[in-house]
Amino acid sequence: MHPKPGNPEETLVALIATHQAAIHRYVHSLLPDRMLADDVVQETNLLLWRKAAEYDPAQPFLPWALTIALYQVKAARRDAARDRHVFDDRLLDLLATDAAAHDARDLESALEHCLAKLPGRQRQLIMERYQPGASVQSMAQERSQTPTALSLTLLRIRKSLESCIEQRLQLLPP
Amino acid sequence: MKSDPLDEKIHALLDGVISPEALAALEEELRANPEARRRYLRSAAVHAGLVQQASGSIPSFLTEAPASPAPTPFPKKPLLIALAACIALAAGAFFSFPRDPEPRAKITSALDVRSPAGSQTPAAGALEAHQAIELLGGWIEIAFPSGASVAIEGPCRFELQAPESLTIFHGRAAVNVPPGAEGFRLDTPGGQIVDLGTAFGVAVGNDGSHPVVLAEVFDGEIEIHAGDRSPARLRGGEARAIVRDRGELQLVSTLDESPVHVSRPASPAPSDRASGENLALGKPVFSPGYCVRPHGSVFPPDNVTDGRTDDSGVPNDWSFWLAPDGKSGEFTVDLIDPATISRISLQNTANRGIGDRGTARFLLLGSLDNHDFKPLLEADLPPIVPGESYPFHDFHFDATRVRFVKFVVLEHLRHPERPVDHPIQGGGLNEIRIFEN
Repeated sequence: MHPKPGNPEETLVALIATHQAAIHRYVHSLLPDRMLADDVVQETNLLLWRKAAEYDPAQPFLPWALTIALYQVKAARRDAARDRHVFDDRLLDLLATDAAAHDARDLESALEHCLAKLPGRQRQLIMERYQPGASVQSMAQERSQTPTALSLTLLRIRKSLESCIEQRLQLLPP
Repeated sequence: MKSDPLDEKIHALLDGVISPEALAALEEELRANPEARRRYLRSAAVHAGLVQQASGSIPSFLTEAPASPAPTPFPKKPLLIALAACIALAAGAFFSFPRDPEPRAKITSALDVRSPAGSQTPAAGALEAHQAIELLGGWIEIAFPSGASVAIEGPCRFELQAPESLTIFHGRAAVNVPPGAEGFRLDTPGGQIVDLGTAFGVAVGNDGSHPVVLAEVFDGEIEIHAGDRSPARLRGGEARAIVRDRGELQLVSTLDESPVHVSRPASPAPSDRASGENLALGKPVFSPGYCVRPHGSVFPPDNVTDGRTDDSGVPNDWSFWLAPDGKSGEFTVDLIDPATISRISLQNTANRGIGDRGTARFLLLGSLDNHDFKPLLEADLPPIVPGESYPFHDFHFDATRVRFVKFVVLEHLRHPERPVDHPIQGGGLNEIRIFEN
């Protein structure tokens, strides 16, 4: 029995909402294919909500949620078409352990700050790249570039975001 | 500025442009080297953050929520909103927070749509997700948020299961994917088709026990994923059928000794509609035999009164009748109620564009008792010209009271490049319409 009265579903919904960013980041880190990852996040949310009764509030929520998310990532890998770039289960386990330990609190606000500091053209390019439905292939075609060349440009922008975020997070109190 | 090879591979993966070789090398490095994994996760976290930022799917109240996971201090109203979202999800909707609802696929046009009795007829507007739609006939076009569009022809059954994919259980469809919408996915019981750009056609049917899926690229490129096979990439003009042969899933380029072909489903043109009351529509048809070949190539005679035309349909559910191999064949339409008739309208077949079967010359007879038949008409029926539309030809004769109308093929068509005695030839017809005058 739960030590505390209250609707376990409501509790779960609050927890899912609180940790949505972390679940999203975890799944998208393990599954670079955006469409697949979006599906997995939604399936994970649904599954967490269905399992409300199984959740023991005495246990920390996030590790439990991420275990369920990892299971969904692996299921997606088995169902996904072969062409989609998905890591095998063994590599997923290795990455998952590190990803779960990866503390990226405040990443969102740091990212927002660092995006604002990018030169206008770079910011525009990276935002276009991440528009829902956008693909590097079609963007490259529009620019008469090879996808690899465009990916290298995007690499440089993301790398500068990475170091900016790192600096920013170090400035913040732990 | 030269970038690090590991970074290049990581970012190519995140951008979906990595080569299989580079992916294999990256995976090996990630498995062997914890530092490589740390670098991957760092880049992937920024990538995930950018995805989140751009999709705006993270509701604002989340960022305002306390860092502590304790549920008690959580604001009351957002909790209810989130709960509502979860309930909507359970009811079959997508998980979408109210701030930025996910764009949804829409029906942009619906023409001559017929639905099974008791089910709602779909009309232009939002397309409900996770709800199978069945059409007996007609034509529907669906537009997706990415710009991809799908035209589906009845009879068919389909369902929207994800924002950028459609599941077709049965039926014929054409998919058009403009630049920027690449990656659109069509799911079928036989496998998945991923559009890498522009247009392809698909026909989803069966062979009686297993799915048979035909796919043809009109322009651009697709990838077919069937079972455990490695994906097959097809370019413009190429076509394949997913079939099961002796229990094995196969991807074949010929069916019935002819290349796989999917004709484009076309919206019904007004000129196709019958003028006057077609007494033959939906009436029973019998014949001494009809063509039955593997993989759902089955062509029973009642196809000539089913209202479907233009060599359309899918395996095991084609729109046209074919006589048995090598036979000219015949069939009889039973009008049920005797009527005085003086005109028929015929549409020939080219057996899905293969051009190896069809009617060249026919004899039409009528009877009230299905025993004594009186000749009504003998005439030539022009063949279908490859690449052109499928015309109807009208034939007039003296008004005669009949219940049974017998159509006897006197001369059938055969493939012009095959030997005269090639077994795959015979009579056939798409549609017969019968009128009083």
